Amino acid sequence: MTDLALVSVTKTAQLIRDRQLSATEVVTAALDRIERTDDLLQAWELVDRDGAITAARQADETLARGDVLGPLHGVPVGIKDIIATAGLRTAMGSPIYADNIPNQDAAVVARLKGAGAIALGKTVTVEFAMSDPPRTLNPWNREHTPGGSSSGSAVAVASGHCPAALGTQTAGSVIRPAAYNGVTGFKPTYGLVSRRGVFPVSWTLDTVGWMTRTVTDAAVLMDVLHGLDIHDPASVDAKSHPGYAARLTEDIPAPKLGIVSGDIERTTSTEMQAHMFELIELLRQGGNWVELYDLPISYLYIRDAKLVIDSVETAEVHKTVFAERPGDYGPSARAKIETGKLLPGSAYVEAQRVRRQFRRDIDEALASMDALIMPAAAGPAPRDLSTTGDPSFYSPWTTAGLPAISVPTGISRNGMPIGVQLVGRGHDDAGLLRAARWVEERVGYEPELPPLAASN
Amino acid sequence: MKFPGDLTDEERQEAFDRLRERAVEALGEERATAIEVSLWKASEAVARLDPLRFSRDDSPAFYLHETAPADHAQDEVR
Repeated sequence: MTDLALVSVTKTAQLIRDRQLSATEVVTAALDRIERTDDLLQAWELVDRDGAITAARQADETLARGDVLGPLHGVPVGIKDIIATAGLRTAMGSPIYADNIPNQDAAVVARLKGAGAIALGKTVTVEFAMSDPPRTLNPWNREHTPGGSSSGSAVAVASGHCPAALGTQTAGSVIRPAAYNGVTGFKPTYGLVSRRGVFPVSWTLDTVGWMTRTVTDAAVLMDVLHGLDIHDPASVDAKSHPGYAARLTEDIPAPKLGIVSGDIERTTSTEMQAHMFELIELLRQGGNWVELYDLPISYLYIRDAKLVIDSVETAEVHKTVFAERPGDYGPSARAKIETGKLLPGSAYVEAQRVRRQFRRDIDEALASMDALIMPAAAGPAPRDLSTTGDPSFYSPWTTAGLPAISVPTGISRNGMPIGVQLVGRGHDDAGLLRAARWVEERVGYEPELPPLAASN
Repeated sequence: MKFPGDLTDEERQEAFDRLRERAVEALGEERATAIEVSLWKASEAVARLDPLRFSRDDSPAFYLHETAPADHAQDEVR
């Protein structure tokens, strides 16, 4: 049978539709791989073996009748354990919710299942998707952080457990772990994908995103997951958007890219800077038009604004439960909540004003280009298990609600994945995906299985 | 009664040290330190936040409206 460890969503779905493989074979192979490697990697909070095999058999029966549920028919996926799953424990990485079994699926889970996907189980999240480190290991080197907070989803995709997994991002919780583990991470524009059934960190920042192995797969999931949901107050109608994946099959002209200079450049490792230089040269040869982009003054304050907004909203989310069980929170979560409770209302309003100014400044810059391009992280995943990494490469764009994507582009001298991040215009996720696909194609990097996953 | 703005730098430091001692006593060193670091970061952030600092508009009344938070957060990104 085909080794499915590195096969994409698109290819897996095609193999099943063409009856070269059954959904049951695909799902069983994924479950077996998890069983062989996850005692070590700890990407999964819970594996629903029986439920997944039952769903796979039903998918095979449906296909035998000539029906295809959708573009993900029979494709196994992982769900971050902060996203509700009907009948399946959703603990949010916290002992407080260790026995929480939702009675309905989150909107995104319902959409995945509606398109034929099969949930293998719940992937590890750091506590309440904040910043206390997870138990999950980086499959490239166990001494390096896997990143967070969607740690399990990134490691599951990188390790060949499934070709796609859902995460969430409040600062950099999709893009950073994706970059640290060598997979594609996509965070859509705020509001395009429903958060109903996703436990909040910060209402005005949280966005559902996902990890895949290719940009095309990220677009396939966007087709399935975007859409208005009246039960999410932030949800907006995206009906005017064309098919995200279909637009990647057209000839993609060289995008206009803005190289972010200044602050980000200064905080990037020498090796990463050299890698970016080579990459930009390569992209220039591809005929695209690249210009240096100086970040606006408001950029200097946007991370402060994010810290204030995030802390205050988190404190409000947890107000009641925290008052009853403060001792059941980890040190970072507790400090964030207690700080948020003390911040003055005027600071919160001021932070929102800074956020609006930054968004206006970036919109102005992006009016003349397709996307900003920058390193996906300051360097490879840090050799430090007490942290999930630096969120500062991501929080400005998340705070502005802009779409972002990371694309793996190589391996560092110490054997860890590195990549680039592209940030697009708000609500032009299709344009961002096209630019990212163009970069992916030009770079031509083929991800491998990481050592801790390949040796098992 | 003195307000924080009335204190000298030295008096503020003394007040902070007293608060820290009480926090360590109540919470233990690890938690007190985590909260202290978090509070310090937040207070630094708040001190830096001032949208008018990078105003490009000479008419403050117009500027103040243009950067006002929306009624609903999603308006920020619509």
